[in-house]
Amino acid sequence: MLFLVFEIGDERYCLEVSRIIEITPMVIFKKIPHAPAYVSGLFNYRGTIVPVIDLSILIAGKPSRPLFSTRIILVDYVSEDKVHHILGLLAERATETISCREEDFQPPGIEVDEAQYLGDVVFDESGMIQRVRIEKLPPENIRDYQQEYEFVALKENNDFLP
Amino acid sequence: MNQRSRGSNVELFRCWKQIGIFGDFSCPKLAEIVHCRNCNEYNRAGRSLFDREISDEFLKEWTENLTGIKESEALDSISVIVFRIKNEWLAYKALYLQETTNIRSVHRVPLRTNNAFKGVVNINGELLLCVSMADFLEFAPEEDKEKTDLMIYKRMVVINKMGERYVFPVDEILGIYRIALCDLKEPPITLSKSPTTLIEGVFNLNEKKVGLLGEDKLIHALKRSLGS
Amino acid sequence: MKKYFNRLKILHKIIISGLIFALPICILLYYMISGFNNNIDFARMEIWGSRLLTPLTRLAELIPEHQLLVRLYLQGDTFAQEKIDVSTKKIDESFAILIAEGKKYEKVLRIDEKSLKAREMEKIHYSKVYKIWQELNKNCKNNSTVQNDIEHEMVLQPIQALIKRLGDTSNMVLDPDLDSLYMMDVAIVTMPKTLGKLSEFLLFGESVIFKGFRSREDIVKFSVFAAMMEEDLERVRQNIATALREDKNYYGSSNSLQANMPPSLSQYESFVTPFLVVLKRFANDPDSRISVAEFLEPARTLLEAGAQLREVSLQELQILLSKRIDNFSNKKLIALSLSLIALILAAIIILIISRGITRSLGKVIDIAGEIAAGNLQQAVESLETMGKSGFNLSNKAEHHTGQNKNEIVQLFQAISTMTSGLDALLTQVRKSGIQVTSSSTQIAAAARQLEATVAEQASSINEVSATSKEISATAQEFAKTMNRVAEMSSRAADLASASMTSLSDINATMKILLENTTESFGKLRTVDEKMGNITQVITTITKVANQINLLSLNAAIEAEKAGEYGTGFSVVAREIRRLADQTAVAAIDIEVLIIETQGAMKEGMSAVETYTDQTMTSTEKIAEISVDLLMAIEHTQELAPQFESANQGMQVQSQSAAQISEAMGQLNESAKQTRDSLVEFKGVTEQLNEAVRDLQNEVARFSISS
Repeated sequence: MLFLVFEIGDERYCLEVSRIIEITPMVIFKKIPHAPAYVSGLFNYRGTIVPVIDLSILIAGKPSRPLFSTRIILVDYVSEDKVHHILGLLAERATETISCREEDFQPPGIEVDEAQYLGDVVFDESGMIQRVRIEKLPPENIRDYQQEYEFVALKENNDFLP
Repeated sequence: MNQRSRGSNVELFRCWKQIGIFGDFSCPKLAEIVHCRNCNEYNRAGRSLFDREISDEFLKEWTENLTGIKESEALDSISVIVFRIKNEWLAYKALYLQETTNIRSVHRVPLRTNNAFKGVVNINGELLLCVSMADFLEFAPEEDKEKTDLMIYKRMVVINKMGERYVFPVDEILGIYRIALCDLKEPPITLSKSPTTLIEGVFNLNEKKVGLLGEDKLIHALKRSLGS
Repeated sequence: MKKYFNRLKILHKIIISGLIFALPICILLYYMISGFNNNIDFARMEIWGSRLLTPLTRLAELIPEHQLLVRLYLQGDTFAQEKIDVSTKKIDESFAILIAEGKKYEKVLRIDEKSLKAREMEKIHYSKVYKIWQELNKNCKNNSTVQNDIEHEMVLQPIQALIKRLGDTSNMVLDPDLDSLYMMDVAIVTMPKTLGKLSEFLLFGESVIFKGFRSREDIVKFSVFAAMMEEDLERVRQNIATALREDKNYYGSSNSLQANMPPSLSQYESFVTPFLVVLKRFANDPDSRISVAEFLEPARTLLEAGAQLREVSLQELQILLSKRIDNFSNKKLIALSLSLIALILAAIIILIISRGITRSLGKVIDIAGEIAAGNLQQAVESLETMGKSGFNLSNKAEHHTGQNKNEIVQLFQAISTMTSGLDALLTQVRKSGIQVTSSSTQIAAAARQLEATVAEQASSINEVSATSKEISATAQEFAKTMNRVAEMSSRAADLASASMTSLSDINATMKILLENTTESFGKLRTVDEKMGNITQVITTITKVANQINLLSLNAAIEAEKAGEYGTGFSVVAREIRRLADQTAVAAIDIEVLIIETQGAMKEGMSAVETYTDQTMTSTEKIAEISVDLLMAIEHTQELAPQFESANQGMQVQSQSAAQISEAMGQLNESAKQTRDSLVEFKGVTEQLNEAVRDLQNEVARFSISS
């Protein structure tokens, strides 16, 4: 299995590639008022309105820097009602992949309720990599933001829509 | 190897310049990995270049770029490689394309060589037949175009349809493009002479008129030419 | 002016200065006397005022009484007729006094018709009031009660106004002494007011009794009046007590005041008490019936007692005031007589002093005349006789300190000293004459010695003449050497101008060098700027490499999704990624290279800059050296003529030496002449001896004591 590796602070994390739709450079986001801090905003991804979560804020509490290596990882997110959504995850140093098997992962030994999206860990020659579980990511009501944005976008003469 | 020493250290200590392939070869890892490009340290140092800040223009450009619908998601389309032979732009379906390579030496085969068949070429250890499409399609010799663009390279294209593989040199490869079937037009009658019989359709790409080679017709014609 | 003053005699000068001092003292005296006069006038004004006030206050009491009597008469009291007549008589008397006094003082007290008119008060003039009274007196028995009251009021009002006006104009209120002030308060303010109120109240009380019943208001009025009476009594008592107490502090205590006031006051007090008893009974017991006579009797006696008290006080007041006037008059007299005596004394003293001075001076003049005539012995004798005849010229005076001697004595002493000094001097002169004679003999001997010295000098001059000839020869030798030096220096000047040419060549070369370095510096800067542009390329490479990395990741994703079919492609994707990494490393390498090159370039540029600076400094230095050289050349060239002039100078010196030699010869000649002159000098010394002898004879003319 292939995993995309990225970094938050000095720690490395990975995401299974099979859940990834595409990786794009950083873009300008449409801010959502009153949304949690970790929601960077929305952007027009090939005609679809996609909400973006800044994993840096979510995990380390400080926003991703605008670097070449900071990228939006567009993943297939299945909500509880089994509907597929595209979700953008913002992370720094998303420039490398790693190939490993499911059984290489070990449980981290400690589980934090607030951070259930952080899963098992694997080791390579540079150290530890923790897996991010997409399905446990917090955006239960991300759909609401999307609708709100669409409404806003309509009012603003569709300047974001193709 | 320390994870925390990445990035900033590179500017101070570029190991490949000191002990690596561009230095005195004293790095113990070289015995195992032969060249620095195989070394994680080296690649990581390279990727540190991406840790630079992006400009607002870059952000705006990509915000704009991503609003476009991916071509592959368009309706019925085919993927083609577009190349130039002499003054003609031609296309071939990517599905039946094995690979493209740099120009390699053609080994003439005694007695079997004619004006289209030039010899054999070593591709990844296999000897494949090489044909000159220019001669095969009887194109006019290239006009003396000013060679302004340094980025134009001659390449060799390897085609493969059901195990039938041929190699032919091209003057320039434009790239692989996806074109909608509806954009394809019938070739004009006047062009349908001997070379144009192999052309299935015509499409416009960046103000260039490109002829799409029919893979079956081409291979059939090549086979027949070699057979004769 | 000064000349004129100098010509005056001493006596006159002293008189003039005395007059100058007497003038301000006289002015001060004048102010003092006029101050006393003012005080006397003030007190006199008060006396006149009180004199006029006496009949006026009396009238102020009598008229309400008259009014009451007329009312009683109109009510049918037949006994009243006699009383009215008595009252009218009293009033007429008072008016007569008023008119008599008024005529005397109306101007001073400003109650004459003119000054009253100026204040629109002409109605209150006493003559007009008297006319109104005569009218009233004629008609009173025929009038109605009301008419009667109104007419009496018309007389009373101007009288009261006149009292007020007099109080203002006679300065009584401003009285400066405590005893008279309090007496005045009793005599002119409090008592008249009390008596006036009492008179009015009598009218009121009579009407109430006549009415037959007492309203509540009437009772209140009665009690208020009783209180007022008590209050006034208290005030009178206190004022009199204060006046008696303070009396002795102002011009001594007045016997009549101390004797008369207490009995009058106690008599008044004794009459107040029964009246108050009646009043209180009237006020407190509403049922008590009181006849008019019962009410009026104590009232009338009280009135009389009050009037008597007032009269006494007024008299005492006048006594006090006249006492004050006497006091001030005495003071004035003393001041005047004292001043006069002082002036006369001063005049006598001036006369004595001036006479003393004039006499002494005359004597001094006599003595000086004798000294001038050469009679020194006689002068000393007359001085001695004077010393015996009163002046303390002798040793006795010398024992006193300088302060104790008067100027005349000092003058005599000085003349005495001078005379004895002159005596000594003449003796000295006689002695000196003898000394001069012996000195001139010595001079003659010295002249002979000098003669010998001059002869020696002549031989020395001969030696000097020889030496100067030698100097002349040496100077000519020196001139020759100078010529050689001048030649050498002109050769040095030639050499210096040659090196000057070489220097200007070097300077030109340096300038070209400087231009070249500046140019290469400019080129280096251009290269540096170009290097900066390469950095832009790095940015582009970064973008491309980033794009390739991204592409490879997406390719890997696609390959992964393709499952088995994509495995080959995933390898390609990885390869591409490595390629991107290599590109990135290359970009980093180029960047480092650029930074290093730029550093080197900067160093090179600064080196070139330093070099340019140094070259410029050298060029400047060369320029300076050339200037120095040029100056050196000029100086050397200037030397030649200087040598020439030195040479000439030497020749001149040589000639001068020869001339000196000549001059010495002449000097020798003059030495001989000197010897001749000395012989003449001797003759002159003889003559001096003779003159001294003459002087001694002249001095002998003075008759000297010893």
